[in-house]
Amino acid sequence: MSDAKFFQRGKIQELRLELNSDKKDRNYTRKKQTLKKIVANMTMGNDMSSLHPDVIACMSIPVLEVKKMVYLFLINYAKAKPEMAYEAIQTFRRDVEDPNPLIRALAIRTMGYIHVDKVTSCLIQPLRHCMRDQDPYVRKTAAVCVAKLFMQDRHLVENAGFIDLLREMLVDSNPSVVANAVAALTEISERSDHIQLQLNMSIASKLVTALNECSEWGQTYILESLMFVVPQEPGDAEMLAERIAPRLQHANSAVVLTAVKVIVYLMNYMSREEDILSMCKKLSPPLVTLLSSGPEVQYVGLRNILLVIQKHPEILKNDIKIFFCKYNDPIYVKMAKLEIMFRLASEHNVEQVLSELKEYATEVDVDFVRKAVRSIGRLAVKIESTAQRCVEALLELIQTKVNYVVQESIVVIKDIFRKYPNQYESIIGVLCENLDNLDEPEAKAAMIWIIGQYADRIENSDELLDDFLYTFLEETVEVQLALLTATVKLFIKRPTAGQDLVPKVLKWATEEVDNPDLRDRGYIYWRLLSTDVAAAKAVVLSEKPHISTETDNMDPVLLEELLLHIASLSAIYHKAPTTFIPHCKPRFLIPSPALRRQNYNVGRTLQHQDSYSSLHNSSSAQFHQSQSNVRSSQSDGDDGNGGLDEFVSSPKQPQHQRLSYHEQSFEQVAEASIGNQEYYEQKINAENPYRTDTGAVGGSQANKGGGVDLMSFDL
Amino acid sequence: MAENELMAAYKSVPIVTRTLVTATILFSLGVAFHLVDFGLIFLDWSRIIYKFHIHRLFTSFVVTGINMSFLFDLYFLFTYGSQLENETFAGRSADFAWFVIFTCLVSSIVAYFMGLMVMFQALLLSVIYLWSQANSERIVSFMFGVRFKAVYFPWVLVAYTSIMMGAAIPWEMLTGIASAHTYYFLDSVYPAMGGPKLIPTPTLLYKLLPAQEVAGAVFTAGGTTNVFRTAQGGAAADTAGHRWGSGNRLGYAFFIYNQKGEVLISRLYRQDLKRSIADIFRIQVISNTDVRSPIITLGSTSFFHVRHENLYIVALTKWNANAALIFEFCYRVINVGRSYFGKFDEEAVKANFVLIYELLDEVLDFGYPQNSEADTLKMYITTESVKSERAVMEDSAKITIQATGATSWRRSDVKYRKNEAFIDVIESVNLLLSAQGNVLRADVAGQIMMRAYLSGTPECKFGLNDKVLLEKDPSNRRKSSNAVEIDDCQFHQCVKLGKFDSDRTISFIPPDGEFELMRYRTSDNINLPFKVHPVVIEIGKSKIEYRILVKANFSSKLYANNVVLNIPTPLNTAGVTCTASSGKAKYVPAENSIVWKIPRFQGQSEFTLTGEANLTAMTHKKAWSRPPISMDFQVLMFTSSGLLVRFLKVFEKNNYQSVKWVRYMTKAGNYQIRF
Repeated sequence: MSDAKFFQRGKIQELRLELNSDKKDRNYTRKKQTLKKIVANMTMGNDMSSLHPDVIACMSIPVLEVKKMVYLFLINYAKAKPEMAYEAIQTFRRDVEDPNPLIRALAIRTMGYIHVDKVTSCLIQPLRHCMRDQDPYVRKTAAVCVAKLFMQDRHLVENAGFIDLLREMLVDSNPSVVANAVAALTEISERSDHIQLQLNMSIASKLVTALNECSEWGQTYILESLMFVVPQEPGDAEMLAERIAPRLQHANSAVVLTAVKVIVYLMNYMSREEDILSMCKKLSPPLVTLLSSGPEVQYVGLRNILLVIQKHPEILKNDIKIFFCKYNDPIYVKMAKLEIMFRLASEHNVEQVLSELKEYATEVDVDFVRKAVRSIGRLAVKIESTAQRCVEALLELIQTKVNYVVQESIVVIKDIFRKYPNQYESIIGVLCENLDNLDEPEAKAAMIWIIGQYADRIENSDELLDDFLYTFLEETVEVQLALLTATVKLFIKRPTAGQDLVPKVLKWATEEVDNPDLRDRGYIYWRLLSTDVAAAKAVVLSEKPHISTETDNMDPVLLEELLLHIASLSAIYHKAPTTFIPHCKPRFLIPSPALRRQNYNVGRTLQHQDSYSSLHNSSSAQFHQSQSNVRSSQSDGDDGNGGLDEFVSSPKQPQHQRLSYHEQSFEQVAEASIGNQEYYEQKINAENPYRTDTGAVGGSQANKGGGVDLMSFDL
Repeated sequence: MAENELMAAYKSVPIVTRTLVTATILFSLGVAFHLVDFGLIFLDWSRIIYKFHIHRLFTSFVVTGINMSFLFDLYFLFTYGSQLENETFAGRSADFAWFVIFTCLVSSIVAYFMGLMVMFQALLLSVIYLWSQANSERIVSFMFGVRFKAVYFPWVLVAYTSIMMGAAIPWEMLTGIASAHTYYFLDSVYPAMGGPKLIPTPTLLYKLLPAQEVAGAVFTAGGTTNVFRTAQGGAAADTAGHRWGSGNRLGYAFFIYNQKGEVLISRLYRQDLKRSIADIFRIQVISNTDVRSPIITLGSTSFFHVRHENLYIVALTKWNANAALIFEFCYRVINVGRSYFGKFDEEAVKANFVLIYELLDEVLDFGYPQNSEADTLKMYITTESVKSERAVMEDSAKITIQATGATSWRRSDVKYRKNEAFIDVIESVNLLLSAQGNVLRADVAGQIMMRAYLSGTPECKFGLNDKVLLEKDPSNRRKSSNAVEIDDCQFHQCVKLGKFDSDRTISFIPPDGEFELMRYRTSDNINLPFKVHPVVIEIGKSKIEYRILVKANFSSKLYANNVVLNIPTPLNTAGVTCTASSGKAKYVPAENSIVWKIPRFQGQSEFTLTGEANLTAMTHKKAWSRPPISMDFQVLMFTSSGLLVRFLKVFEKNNYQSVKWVRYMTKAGNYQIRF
């Protein structure tokens, strides 16, 4: 018999008649049918709440299936129609006394979902009983029910002694009960102002014992709770990690990743390098195995691997082949793999990586191809010995004449020129053939920078620039800045060629453009050129600071925090959870005598946690310091974000509350440093009155091709 | 009684739209039947200023003439109003009300200069304009099925009215568009450019019309262009007063959709979620053709989805949830569904939705996954409730022990007359061969499936030719020459992991029936079952020559089944002629490839395919991306890794004899050859 026919809009009136019909209804088949129709309509989003008196009347029918459907109805509409929940209370009262444990558990579970005060107050007494029920199934259901109750009324839970009852359950004889109690406690601890879970070693060791016997989900809950253990001695951390390590062999990736998280966390408290190394060895194979799961889990795995290998580069360093993209991988998996490939690339495997990247650059997906091309360029910057081959590869790609490939190549070639000045000028000719195809500002700015930089080597550089200048006023600021600087460079290098162009550009930049960055830069050049050409030369053509891909690395403080969130959403997005989850308690390494030295920088950690959300959006001082000199790196951190671009981060987290469960001294340190930073920001702003949203003159030019010269001026 | 239903339908319309539509009907009919004096309601600034007829600012917007277009207009107001309120503003009626008030004010001011009196069209066009901005990519059909993008809709309406009125300019409408654009600019565009939000919704409105929906969902509609950032959700989130931390609860809601985006199963675990949150996913993912991530986050709400057959399995969370856990759970739902219904697709879900609700209630308590072993679940959640209540009662204690116990996957009362165990070793070979013929990547993902038909509670021990294990024991040294080095393995939850970790023995109490005992991975000494030598030459722009040679690399006593090669052809292929020395080869235009099928492939033999593809001329510049040749096959009694089962021992207190069978198979995983 198929129930599919119930998926059609039912008329409330008809349903009511059916429910109340007096016809003989043996085994209640007719009632069941009608209830199914009602549930189907509820699913489709049709409002069935007006049927409540009739549905509640069915509660007395002694058929479990009917009871479950009525409960479902109750859960759905109790909030809107509290009065109907009252009518059900009697039945609940009877059910929690039922000799059948399944019914007892069902009643408790359902009552927990109904957020009506009267029901809640009826729940408290039976819940207490159930937490000590002789049947483990009822006990484990009751444990979760405490978490439900907490969401509804936290004071009730905190004051009515439920927390203590949960704590007792941690040593229950049944592993499922332990797991659920742990899960409930973890959730309460994450959300409560007053309660902070802290497990000592003896409890932790009991939990690990239970780990062997409970279901895969239960294992995840227990492992998660082990994040609240603060080992006081390195030996404790080693012992615990050793006992958790077998979980890495579990078939469920949630168990594996959570185990990885706990082990990576515990490594912070280990003292001997060889222990850490041996743990790292154990981590590699299970991480690779994640890639044979479904694509969604692969994606989760890859994003987390990217974090783990930044902290512990020895993991997976020989496994780069695993991350080669398959042709039919979903795009999100490919993008994530590409990032890992770049990070794992080294002198030894660069040959293979490069040939893979070349392969990807011919694929169909535009974003993927762009990223592949960009990676080739970054590879050249990262590994010097391979630069020559990368440049050749890029030239080949330019020959394909595919528009976006050409543009992307030019953007990265600029970086290569910057890193290796005066080495690859021979290819400039090829680049110049493609001038007409450039329509993206970034590519244009890069090309203009190259022309300006090599103005004396390119014979017709003045003509090329003149072509670009033709549309000066319509260009984006990025391109205009590049044009301005390139023209000045041309003038300094070849005064005769540039003398017609310079006045024109300076006039435009200072008189016809509204952008303060551009205008100010125009004035600076103008005055420099008109007062002291030698000084201008020294400033504009000065030696540029070196770039490297080191700056691609994630801010170590953020990395440290994200590692505490492995497997979670924030580890996938590479954003601190506090930036997108309102009222989230931040996590950080809690100091203990065993915490490794290099991490023992509490002030810095705390400062980071409170300032990160503001860092995230605004252009504060720190942000610029950590920003890379290679233009490409900035975007790469964000690429795998999926929908995250649309985040509205809410920076107004009450700092005071968030710190309330720490010791006093940390709080003071933190607040002091926050204060300092704000001061610093203000000061910077005061010094740079023309700072706009696109960034300060000194801070942003590294990202903007043409402005490079100004950096030395600023410094 | 019927009016009850009518009331329900009426109440289901969101509040602001409801008010507007009702007011329009009342006033317009009132005027038409001379129950209300028109002189008291039209917009007249002099009377507003001197006689303080403030109400005119509102009433003039909800009165219009009764004629043909009246019904159309009402319909438009109703449809687009409720869509805006429900979807674009995601149920935040306060923001929508503020939009209406703001645009009415702006329109009234414009009307002062233009001398307009009846402003209903302005209101209507404001609503339509904002809707069209929010859904700019949607296709609208209008009058006799003319179809165009929604973004043009207001203008089409203006043009149409203008023609109907005899080439007069409908100033009211233009006013409405202008005021809506002002709102749109100040609310969305300008803040997006970095400016402050100049027209925040007054907090008074939030108090009057509390948000009923997800707090803080940032909502993009109909593509990527328009982001309506409304009210930041900050206010609403604060009042909720919860702290969301990280943890491993699955989340807040669980849905199953079909491909059309209809909700088949919906279970919400938090009271402050409304079911309409399900629509957000439909719009964002299901009707979006370019979904680039299995996780979508809007504001602080994240949707995780897994596609299976024609279903979307979706979990929703608002905190930093354990993503691996969520996806694993989605996979598990699929597995449990398969085990119950044979397959898990739209048909199966619809046919068993009540049962699925029951299962969900059991498997997912408040978002925490619980015991999800199909075998145990089947003890007390049955497809037809055949068991009498009495029987359930007697069993229930057993069931609960089972569901929470240390061996939650096995019933204790299993009995078989003949005790048998079947082991299937299934290996998937993954290969990536470069165009130059180098092996870029070759590895084997193995799976050991077991079907156990054993009585009682048997304890099993299982042995493989695992290199690490064999080298431990010095007496076995000589054997270890053909041992396999396993990179990593993962076990079913019945295997005692602690034991494996200490001495690498695999011991377990198996579930009854079929299950996956272990998965393993190895990349050492892989025997590739097939070698492929492709020669593909592009001759000019109109022809491609293929010459593909396949050789079986395993013993001639064995043979492979269902060998299929997919040889890609360019998109602009007009036709292909090819001949194969064995099997059938034909060009399949839908897949852009030549499909070469060889039903039976003897070991050590080799076959070739020669062919020629003719291409049509293309203006398209881009070169052919040359996707790799992919291959599919099955080879029985062969393992690529060389893995062998050494023993399976069964210990049970009844000490019965048991029969064990083992079977090997190697199949293609991702077997790709570039050329």
